[in-house]
Order: sequence, then structure tokens, then C-alpha cells
Amino acid sequence: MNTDEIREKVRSLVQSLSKPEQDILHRVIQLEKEKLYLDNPKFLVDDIEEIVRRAIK
Amino acid sequence: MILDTLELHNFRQYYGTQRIVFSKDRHRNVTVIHGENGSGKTTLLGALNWVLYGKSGLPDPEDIICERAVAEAPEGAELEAYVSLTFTDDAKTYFVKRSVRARKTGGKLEYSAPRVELEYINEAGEHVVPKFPQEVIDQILPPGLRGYFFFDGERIDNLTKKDGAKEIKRAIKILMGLEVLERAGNHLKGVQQRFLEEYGKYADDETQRIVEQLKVVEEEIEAKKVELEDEKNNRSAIEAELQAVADRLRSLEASRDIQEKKEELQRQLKQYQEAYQEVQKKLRYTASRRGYLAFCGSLIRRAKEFVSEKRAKGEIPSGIKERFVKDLLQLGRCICGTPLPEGSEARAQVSSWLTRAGKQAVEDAVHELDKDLVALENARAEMFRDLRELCAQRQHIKTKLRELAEEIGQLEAQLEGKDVEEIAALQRKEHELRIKRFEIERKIGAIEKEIEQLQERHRQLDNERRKKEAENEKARLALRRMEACQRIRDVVQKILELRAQSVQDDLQRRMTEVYNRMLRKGYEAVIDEDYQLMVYKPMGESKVPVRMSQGERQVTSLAFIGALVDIAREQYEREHERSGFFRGGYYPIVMDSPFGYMDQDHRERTARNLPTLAHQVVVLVSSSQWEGSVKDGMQQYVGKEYVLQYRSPKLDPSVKFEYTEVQEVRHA
Repeated sequence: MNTDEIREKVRSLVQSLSKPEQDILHRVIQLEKEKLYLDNPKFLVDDIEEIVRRAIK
Repeated sequence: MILDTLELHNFRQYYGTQRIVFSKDRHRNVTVIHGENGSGKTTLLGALNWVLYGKSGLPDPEDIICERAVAEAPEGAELEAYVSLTFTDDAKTYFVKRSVRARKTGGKLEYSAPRVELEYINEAGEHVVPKFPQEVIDQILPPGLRGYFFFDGERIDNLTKKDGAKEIKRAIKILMGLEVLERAGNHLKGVQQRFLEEYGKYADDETQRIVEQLKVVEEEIEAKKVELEDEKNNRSAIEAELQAVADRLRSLEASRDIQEKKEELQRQLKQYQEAYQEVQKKLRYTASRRGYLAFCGSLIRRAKEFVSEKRAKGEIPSGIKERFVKDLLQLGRCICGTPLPEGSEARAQVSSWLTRAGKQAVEDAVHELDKDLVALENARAEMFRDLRELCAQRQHIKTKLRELAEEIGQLEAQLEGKDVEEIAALQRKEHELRIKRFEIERKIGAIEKEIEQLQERHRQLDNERRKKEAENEKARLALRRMEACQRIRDVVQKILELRAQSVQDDLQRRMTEVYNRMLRKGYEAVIDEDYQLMVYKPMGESKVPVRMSQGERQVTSLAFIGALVDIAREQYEREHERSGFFRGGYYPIVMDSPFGYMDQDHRERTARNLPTLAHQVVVLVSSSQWEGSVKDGMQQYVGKEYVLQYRSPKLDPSVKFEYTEVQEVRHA
């Protein structure tokens, strides 16, 4: 599978989620990128929980 | 990350303020820093690590301030040492400075805590001073990766050793964005667990009971997965030991021929085992899809007898079509040629068939039934034929498996019976290891089965929970959040699988290209699905693992880092304008004495190829390593050149202290 095909598959996977879920996914990935060096995951779980609470009401 | 300027002030042996401006020219991307032993090359590498992470990795790390500066300072004076670095990353320009102060008291220094400052200019040209500077630095170049970009060349051969596998896996995962996805999946699972607990809190007693059970089952699944991973690691360790035994047996004159033959037979054995599994799969498929035909024999026979009987009695159409009889009567002649005049006996006879000929719809249905019965009979015969063929194949494979096992057993007995004690001992060891591996595989199978059962239990409980979906609004909300987490986790997992496969393919392709350019011998570097780096030597149609020299290990490790950095760069350039999940990035390579164990040819190949892979290369090198093939290969890429001027009382009695100054080499 080439790069474009992978990108297209990823796009379609993401679009299979609802809008709020897509929003959560993007925020979570961004957060993970920013905190990649953190060894203690508790803070991240706290932050992601908050993201999910805000997105799904 | 592209390095711009490194400034050292009274840091270790660097006296006063010393500055190095790195080359950022795309085509002349190499900065060479020449220095003889003890002149401060390793200290420069340590300075980079210290300014970014606060850890220099140098001996006596607490002695930071330059000895000469301390000696020249009056009693009670406050001294400062610092290292600052300017660099760019993703269109932002950063300035980081780490400093330490100390007061000279009684000839000694009292240090205060080091301090780090960071500021940057963002894409919009705004000046930003982040609150947590170390966090920002760690985001740009995670501490776990620094060893790949700022490294001591003499120790870089670790990557090709067995204990390097973990490091490689982690580096690939971080650089290629897999670590982010894995962590996202794990953390989302943690969040999902919290919503599950919340849901249980608001739900009714019965639902709570189910939720509690779900939690227990999930914990059991996790524990089993850890156990499975441990057993798989044990199996890998045994396999590595088996490989080492095989290598040794192959290297000994007295056992080489037998060992090679044994390995060839083992390869065949493996092929037959795979073929056996394939036949078993086909047998299962045939039995599950067409097995019912085996039980249809008497039914088909009874149906046929029933139709014949009814047909004979005239209770169902005889197979003579009504239209056909009418046509004969109209024609006035039978099919046998007998005339059928009105009132004749022959005509009466043919007319009587009209009562036996059926109506059109019934005729069609009976006709279809006839056809179906024939088709069923054929399908049944075909199914039996296929089963017989598959069973014959299975029997043949079983015989081959037994023969091969016997032949291997004989070869093993020959090895065990050799006069050479080492060979017999190795063979015994191999035998023990195989028993251990079998035990572990048995355990793995049992654990996998248990996990499957637990997952099935989890599915059942989850269905029960759904049925009992609470009417309570809070519980429903927790449920929706929990389910959203599950859907996102599923997507993350699928993206991770797609990405992992693509990374492995890319890395393998690039590593092969780079390796062929950098290593003289026709070795083959293979990165397996677990990202382990293995090097093989082709031998006829097969290939065998290679025992490399230290120089070859250095080249292999550098080729690997080069390939990794090149893919990250390509990824970054491709995805730069997109907000994709995997951005890659520019990574510099800063190497201290990387050519030490290589011969002239490998030095030249590495020197010529490395600058084409990394965006920026900094080489700290002694003149003995630089002159000759390294210079020949790399000179065309050199954009900046410095010399570390080392002064010492041992070399020059007029100098009171040892210290180093940096001088730029300017070419006319």
C-alpha cells in the first residue's frame, strides 16, 4: 500500500467517527505528541477524560 | 531541529566565551570540529546534552566551571558558567541557555542550582517565554531519542547487539509516530475504564453487578496479556540461544556439514508443517461448508424412489408433456410412425396419455426436482472426492514429516556421538532448548485460549449490560462517553496497524539502499515485524546470520540511524503542509569520533553517504580519523570547520592551566 492509499484509509477511518469523536481523536493525538516524554500517564488520562467530557455532553 | 549556534562560557575546559556556528547550508550541511585526544570533543557533545537536558554524561558532572576561570577569580567572587544553543524547529527559532553560578570560598566553589531559560520566536514573529522550558525542549527532541542524534561513535555499535533491539524499537516508534498512537490507545482505555466506573455508580444494582464483573474480566484479560508477552519474550530468548548454538555448530569444522544438512531438513520440515496446516484448514472448510452432503445419501435415494413410484402410478407427471401428446394427435401419427386416425385403438391409446401428462406448473416443478436431485448427487460425489484427495495429501505430508523428523533425529544423534566434546554438549543443549521452547509454546497456546474465553465472557457481559441500559440520565451519559472511547480506540488501533506496516516497509527499503551504499560486503540488513535489526549473509539460496566485526557493527548502526533520519525528513517534507498524524521532522546527527574501528574503505563510504541522509551533520574528529578517506568522502559537504585549540602546561610550560579555545578554519 502506498502513502496516498494509507492516507486515504486513515482519512476514511477518521470520518467513520462522529464529529465530536473526531474532535476528541485529534485533541488526544495532539496532546500525546506534546506529552510524549511524560512517563506518568495519570496526568494524560486526566486530560483526556476532560476532553471526552467536554466533547460528549 | 536544526542547530544554529552553540556558545560555551567557562564550561568545563572551555575558557571564556567560545562559539560554534553550525552549517545550515542544504548542500554543505556538514560542520567538522577537529580536535586531538583530550582537546574537548566529548565535552562539546556533553555541552549539547547539558544545555538541552541538564545531563552532560561527562565524568565528574558537578565540576562545571572552568578551572582556569576559577583560579583567576579572586576569593569571594561569583562565577558563572553557561551553555546556550540557538536552533530552529518547525518554523520557530529557539534560544535555550542553561547556567550555573558558584561562589569561590576558601579556594573551593559553592554551587547554586543550575537554571534553564528558554525563549522562542513563533511563526508569527512573536516572542514567547514558555512557563515550563524543559517540557518544550522535551517535546522537540524527546530525551529517549537524544542518544541517536548526539552520540559517541565508539559506542554506537550497540544497535546491532541483541540488547539494542529494545532501543531500536523505541526509536522507530517515537520517530514514526507509532508511540503517539500506542499511548493514545492506552490512555483512552484508562479513560474508558473511568467512565465504566462512573456508569456503574449511577446504574441499578443488577447493572452494577455486571459492571463489576466486566471490570474483573478486563483485569484478568490484561493480566493474561502480560503473561502472554512474558512467555513470548521467553520464547524469543530461547530462539536466540538456539540460533547461537546453530551458529557455533556451523562454525566448527567437525560439525559443519551435518549442521548444514540438518538446517536444510529443518527448513523442509517447516514447509511441510505449513502445508499440513493448510490441508487441515481446507479439510475443516470442506467439512463445515459441504459436510451436510455426507448425510444426504439416503434422503436423495428415497426422494428419487418416491418420484419414480408416483410417476409409475401416474400420480405425478410421467415426464410426457401435455403439449407433446396434443401435437401427436393433431398430426395423426405417433412418434413410432403408427397412424392415429379418429376412432382407432392406437389413437385411443395415445389419447390416454393426456390423463397422465401433467399440468405445466407441476411438470416444471417435478422437472426442477429431478435436476436438483442430480445436482445434489454430483455435489455429494465431488465432496467425497475432495475429502479423499485432501486426506491423501495429509497422509503424504504426515509421512514426509515423520521421515524428516527421523532424518533430523539421526543427524542429531551423529552430532551427539561426535568425539568432540563441545559438539556433543552443543547438541545436548539444543535438545534441552527445544524442549523448553515446546513447553513455552504450549503455555502460549493455553494462555491464548484463556484470553479468547475471557473475551467471549466479556462480550456476553457487555451484551447483558446493554440490555439493562440504565434509564438514569447520568448513567446513559457515562455509557455514551465510554462507547465513544471504544470507537476512537478501535480507529486508533486500525491506524496504528496501517502505519506500523508502512513504517516497516519504508524502513526496510531505505535500510537496504543505505546499507548497500555503506557496507562493502553483500550483507543483507533485515528489520523484522518487531523492528529487530538482523544482518544476514547470503549462502546459496538461504541466508545465515552474520558475526560482524566492530567496524562493520559501527557502519551498520550508522546506516540504520541514517535511514531513520532520512525517512523522518522525507515524512516531514511530505506532510509539512498537512495536519497529519505523522509529521516526521529534521534531526541533526552529531557524532564524536565515529570512524574509529572502520577500515579505510568503510570510512570513505560512510563519510560520503551520511551527509546525504541527515539534514545536518556535525562531526567531532581527530586529525588521524579525518585525514585520508574520511576527508575525501566528506569534504565536498563541509560548510563550516573548526579546530579545538587545546593548551596545557604539559605541552607548553608558559601556560598555567589546561583549557580549550575554539577557532574557526577559514578557507581562502
